[in-house]
Amino acid sequence: MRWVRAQVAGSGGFPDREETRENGGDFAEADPLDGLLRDVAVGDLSAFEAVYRELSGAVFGVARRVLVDTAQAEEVCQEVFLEVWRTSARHDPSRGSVSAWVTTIAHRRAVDRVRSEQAASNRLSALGRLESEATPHDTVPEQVEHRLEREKVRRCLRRLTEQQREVVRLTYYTGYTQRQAADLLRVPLTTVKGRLRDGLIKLRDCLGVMV
Amino acid sequence: MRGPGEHGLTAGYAVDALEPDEVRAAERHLAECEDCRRDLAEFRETTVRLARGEATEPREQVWESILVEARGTRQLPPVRSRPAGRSPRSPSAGRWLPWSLAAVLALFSVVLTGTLVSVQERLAVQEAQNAEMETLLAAADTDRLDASVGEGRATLFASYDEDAAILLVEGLPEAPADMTYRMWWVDGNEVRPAGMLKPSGEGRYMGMAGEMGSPEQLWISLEPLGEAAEPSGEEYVIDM
Repeated sequence: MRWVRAQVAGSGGFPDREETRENGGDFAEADPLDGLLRDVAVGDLSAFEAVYRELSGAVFGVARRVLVDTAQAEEVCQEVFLEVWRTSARHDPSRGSVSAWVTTIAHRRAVDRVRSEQAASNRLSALGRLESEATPHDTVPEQVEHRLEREKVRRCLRRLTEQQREVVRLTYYTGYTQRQAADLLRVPLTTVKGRLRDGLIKLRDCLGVMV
Repeated sequence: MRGPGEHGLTAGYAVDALEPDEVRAAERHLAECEDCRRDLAEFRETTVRLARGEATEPREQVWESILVEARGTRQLPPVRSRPAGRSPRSPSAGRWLPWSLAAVLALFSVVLTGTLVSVQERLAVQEAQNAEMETLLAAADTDRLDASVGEGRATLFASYDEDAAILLVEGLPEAPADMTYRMWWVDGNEVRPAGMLKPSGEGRYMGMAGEMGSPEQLWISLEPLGEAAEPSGEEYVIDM
């Protein structure tokens, strides 16, 4: 399987007017995370830390975006990386990249929490707190690579139709199921499915995702 | 190939936006639709980028506590491939997907239709046990055993590698409020406690039993709440 290095480094600030799928350069090489994960699987804690440093921002960030609550996002982050530690020998590179494996676990765990009642009420109270406090997120200087990737995603999200963006926001970023999103938007489920699929395809192309 | 219904589930699957019944349908479909697997892989890489777009470093204490816990956590061995011709779980699903709990619960549905939603809901809030169950179900030597218990029936998933089993039972009389069903491992004359069976909705019970050893039987008995060193009541017996 080919793997594009730009996905590890965070291929932020490339001009996105290119119509071809951006791949961060013409070279493609093995994903360094694959090698690191093999070392993790034999108990190498320094490789484990390298994997953590590479992915902790995305894992924590997506968990916090979905859960809103920072403490819960930290718990999810711990759970995710312990699962990675425990099950690293069972990751099969032919099923997808290490990044996809790890961020999928993170998103799924965050969404599972959102769907449990307790988490939902914690989330509401966290939302309440956010209204009265500045979010830490706005005050902490972001690392440059994170900012570039963030901008890239924002630009691509802006390219979706409003309806596609709304469905992506409700599902991926908020943790609604397609059915819940359809109920909320009062449109048929098939409409939501179509908008989500079209939205993801546009994002895939705009972000230059290669598999 | 089935209708467009299942095709339409791939995007939702990639962003965890499916209900439990749709997850099962999507996983069944993905197992037999190569184009959909490719779509899924691309959508998953897309969500990696969305996640990176949210990247924020957690506090350093998060890493420190992960490190402490990792040092005390046993790593799982790689999944061994099964001998050809022996596939006690799913003959058709293939093994390209990780054994997600949802996928395995889809197989349970054949056995205990209707238990699933409640099982899955419970599991959503029992992350730790969830992970243990997943490990057990993913073990290469996990076997399934069906048995009748009194008027009801039981399904046992047991792994000697993981030294544990999951028991699902339906059709047992409801436990009174001050009583609970307990499991016991029995080998020779020895009876060892194997944990509680917890209600799992609609009169069904499930439990995870560790320290299995090589038992001859699994017993189920109704016991007063609290610790119990040995079965005090009438037992249901499952021969291993």
